[in-house]
Amino acid sequence: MPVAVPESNAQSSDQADPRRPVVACQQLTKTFKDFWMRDQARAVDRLDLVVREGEIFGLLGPNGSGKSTTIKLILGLLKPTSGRVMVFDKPTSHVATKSRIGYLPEESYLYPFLNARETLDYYGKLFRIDSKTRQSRIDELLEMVGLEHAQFRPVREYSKGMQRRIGIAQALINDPDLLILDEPTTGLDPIGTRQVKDLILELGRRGKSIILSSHLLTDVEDVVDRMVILYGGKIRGEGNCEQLLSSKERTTLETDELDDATIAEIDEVIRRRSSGSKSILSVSSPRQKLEELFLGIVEQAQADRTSTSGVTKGGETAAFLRSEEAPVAGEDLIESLMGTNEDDTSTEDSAGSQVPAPSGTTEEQPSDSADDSDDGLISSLMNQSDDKATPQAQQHKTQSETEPSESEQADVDVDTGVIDSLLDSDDQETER
Amino acid sequence: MKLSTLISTIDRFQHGRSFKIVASALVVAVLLTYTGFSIVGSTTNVVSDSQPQVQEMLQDQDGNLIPNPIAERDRQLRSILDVSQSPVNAVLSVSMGALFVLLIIWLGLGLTYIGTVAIVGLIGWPLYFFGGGMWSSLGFVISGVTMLMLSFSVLLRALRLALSSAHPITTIARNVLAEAIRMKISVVFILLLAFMLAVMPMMLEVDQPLRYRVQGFLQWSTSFSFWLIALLVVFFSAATVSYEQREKVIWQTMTKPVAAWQYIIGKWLGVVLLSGALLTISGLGIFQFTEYLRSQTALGEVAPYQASEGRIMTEDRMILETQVLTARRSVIPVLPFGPHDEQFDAALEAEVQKERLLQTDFNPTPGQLAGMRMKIFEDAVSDYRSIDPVYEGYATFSFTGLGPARSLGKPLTMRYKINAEGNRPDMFYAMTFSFEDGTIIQRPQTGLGFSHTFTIDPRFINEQGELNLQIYNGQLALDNNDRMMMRPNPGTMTIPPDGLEVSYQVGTFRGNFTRIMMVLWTKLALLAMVAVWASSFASFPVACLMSITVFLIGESAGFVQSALPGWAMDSESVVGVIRTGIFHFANGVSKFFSAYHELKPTQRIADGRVLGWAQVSSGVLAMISATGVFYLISVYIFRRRQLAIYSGQ
Repeated sequence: MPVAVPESNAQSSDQADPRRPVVACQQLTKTFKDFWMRDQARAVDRLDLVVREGEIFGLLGPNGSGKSTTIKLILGLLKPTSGRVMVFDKPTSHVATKSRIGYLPEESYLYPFLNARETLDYYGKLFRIDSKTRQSRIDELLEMVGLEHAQFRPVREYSKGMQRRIGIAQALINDPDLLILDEPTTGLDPIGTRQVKDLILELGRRGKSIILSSHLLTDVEDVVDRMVILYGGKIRGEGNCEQLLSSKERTTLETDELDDATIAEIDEVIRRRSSGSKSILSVSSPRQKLEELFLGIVEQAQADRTSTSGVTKGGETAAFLRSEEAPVAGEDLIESLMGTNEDDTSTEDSAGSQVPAPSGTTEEQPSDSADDSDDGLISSLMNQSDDKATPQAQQHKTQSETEPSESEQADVDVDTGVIDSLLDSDDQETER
Repeated sequence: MKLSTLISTIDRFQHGRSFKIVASALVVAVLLTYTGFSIVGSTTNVVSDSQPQVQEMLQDQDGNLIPNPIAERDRQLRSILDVSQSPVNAVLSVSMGALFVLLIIWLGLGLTYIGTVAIVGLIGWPLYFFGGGMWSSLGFVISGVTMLMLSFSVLLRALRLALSSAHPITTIARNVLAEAIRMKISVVFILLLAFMLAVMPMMLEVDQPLRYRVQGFLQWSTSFSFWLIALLVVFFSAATVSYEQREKVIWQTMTKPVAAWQYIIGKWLGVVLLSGALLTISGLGIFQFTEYLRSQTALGEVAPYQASEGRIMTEDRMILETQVLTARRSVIPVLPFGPHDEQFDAALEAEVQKERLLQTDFNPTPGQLAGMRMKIFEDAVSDYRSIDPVYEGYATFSFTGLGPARSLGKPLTMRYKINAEGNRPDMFYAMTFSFEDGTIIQRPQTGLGFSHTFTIDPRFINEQGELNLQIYNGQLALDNNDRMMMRPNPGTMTIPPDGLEVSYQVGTFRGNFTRIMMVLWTKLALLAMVAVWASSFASFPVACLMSITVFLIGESAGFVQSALPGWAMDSESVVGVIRTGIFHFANGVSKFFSAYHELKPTQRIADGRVLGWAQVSSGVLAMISATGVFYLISVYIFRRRQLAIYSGQ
């Protein structure tokens, strides 16, 4: 049965994106009723939504906007009041379709009396995965989420972060074609968050479809191809990051340190060229992001071999989830980041301290005449400051002339030598 | 070597194939040796050799040879002993034990269990054998609880192994078993069951006749086990389904390729297997201890199975072997009249006229007439069962449907009870039983108010399968002129409704016990499905309440059915209309549960009454059908449920 794609988007969707829809919601509405069957709350209101094959789709919105409700409707945990939703061209009640879906709910609802291995074994058996494959996947997943040493402890003894990791692992046990993650980074430390993002990107590269629901904007921004923003159960914004986030009204330059005179001169050039309508609005020294600082400290502590319990080092993405391309190892990662630092627009590396440029400001974007003049300005400014350039800047300049490939961006990986006692001591805060 | 290293080494060793093979061979060798010795060393001959030989044939007054009735009776008694002392029981018990040991070995737990048993034995057995009194009891309890728990854990491991395939149903069932062990709700029940089963033998009064001890133990242990496991089934079934919904754990199961019907049946299967394991262990424990009690000294014996000089068997032993540890079919005498016979029409009319003398406008409703007729009938029955010593002096009773008993040719057991003179314990009545072929059996010292038994020859049954006899209220004897005369008792004696019964053995205790356990398990399976059904839409406390209500209705349906005939009804007053409504409701519900309550498994096992395959089949079929209905309803409800909503949240 063909999936009903919402009419408003159908034409443009088909023309722009020929990929098959894996999830299609048509006028989807969910109204919760009270005991007396009176309408209480409309959580989702005539939602038209399509998620295509191989797409990383973001579902954004504040608390109570209908994100989780939408996901539950997609998974069949709720029944729509009206409208319809199809997954892989099948209704949500179709049992066999669920073998292609992995789901991580907003909280990890696990059996408290099972340990990590048993938990994954249980869910693996529900997918009818044979024993040998199941055991090998469990080993890989436990290594990936850093719970190898705690695999025989019952889940009720785990911290929230550890439970979340097992939740992620169980969502991946069947190597799903569609992965639905509801607030996946909740309870995770920055390193865990980084790992999840990298994992999402890795899976996206493999052609998996991912629906990512979150109210943590930075988590979503870094990974999604397309997103919708919900409020009151309705879509308030829809599009990709480029469409939604780029601002054509500003230009950001990043240079080596400049003295006041140089800055003044640059300002003068801008004013002259724009006939006084434009100027430098602000000058500041870029700050290292807290995440980068955190990751740097963790890496150092790990290098010092500080002991840990709880979550140990998170491993690479499990082999059965990885693409054919070899994952970037730690050192290679650092080198590549050093080389492509300025052009890393969608991910942040763990080792470097470079601030990624905002995603809307790659130098290679086609632009109108005003932008052309700005580009020319930038080039001229760069040329003028050539004599003050550092080798790093030279490298940056060279690199900036080429658009970073998607695969390069996606190859940015967390240094696998992570998770030491600092991280584990955080994870020791248990919810017993 | 560190202890942990030693333990690891032992563990690896006991998991090794060579150990398993060698250990299994050893167990089989021991079993075969024991079987051989048992068959050769049967003790029946020893008993018969110690008894004086009785002539098989006697000469009557005409010089003809006739069978000696005493020899015939002795042969019948010996046949009872042969059955009870047959080595088959012991061999079967040892075989089952050997199978169990083999299972432990192949689960890789052989040395672990040997070690555990050895440790417990070092503590418990010295206490039991040398402690005396309370210490002896403590030793028995420690050993008993440990053995029961070990056996249960072995069975559970085996079940989990059997359920280890990658399929939703077996996976969910296996998870239920894990939950049962690791969550406190069920561990409490399991420990309580093991403890009470181990303690119960301590509560038997050693001074009681053996048959009462065995009967009491069977009654209490079977009932207690069944009720405790039933409560566990209710609470656990409700908990495992409703908690998963409340805690949202079910989201991560039902978003996998698991159909609603698979989920429900997986949960039910897990609970059924758990209850089956518990019932098996408690049943084995009860059976083994009953066999142990059987081998103790009965009242009047000098040693187990050895009566005093001149007797083959004591009454205590005979009742134990023929009425308790057996599977017998019972027949009660048929009444020679029914409530709707014409003989009562005149009496009913007379009663109505009598009422009209007191109340001129008395116009009884059909319900009232039925009640009056029933009263007249009951009075007639009471008169029929009362035997005065002077007026007639005897009453005639007839047992029908005894054709199979005649064919079997085994001795029957006559059980009788009389009430008289307030059942004073110091009074004894003489009774005489006269059979159709002229045989007279005297019972000179019959105590009042409790049951007595004696064996009767199957030859007393005529070709129509009827056993006709007369019971005299006194002792029949020949006077000086060789004429039959009766020495009457001082007062009228009454035979109560349950005071006369003939029974005959149609099976063994072992077979009967097995069938009864099967029926109990089927009942538990039905109860599990009721609880799963209730928790598919209700919260835990409501589901428990509903399930327990259904369970209690089923268990009490028999009592309600027997009490309903005495429930007065009328349609004139408001209260009467309500009572009539209650009657019809109760009647309908108890009839609905008739297949459930008529089985009466615990009562039968204590009374030694047979639960035949036909009854088992029909009862099990009815319960399986009911289970199926509840299953289909629960699947229907579950499929329509929105799992993300629980109790409106």
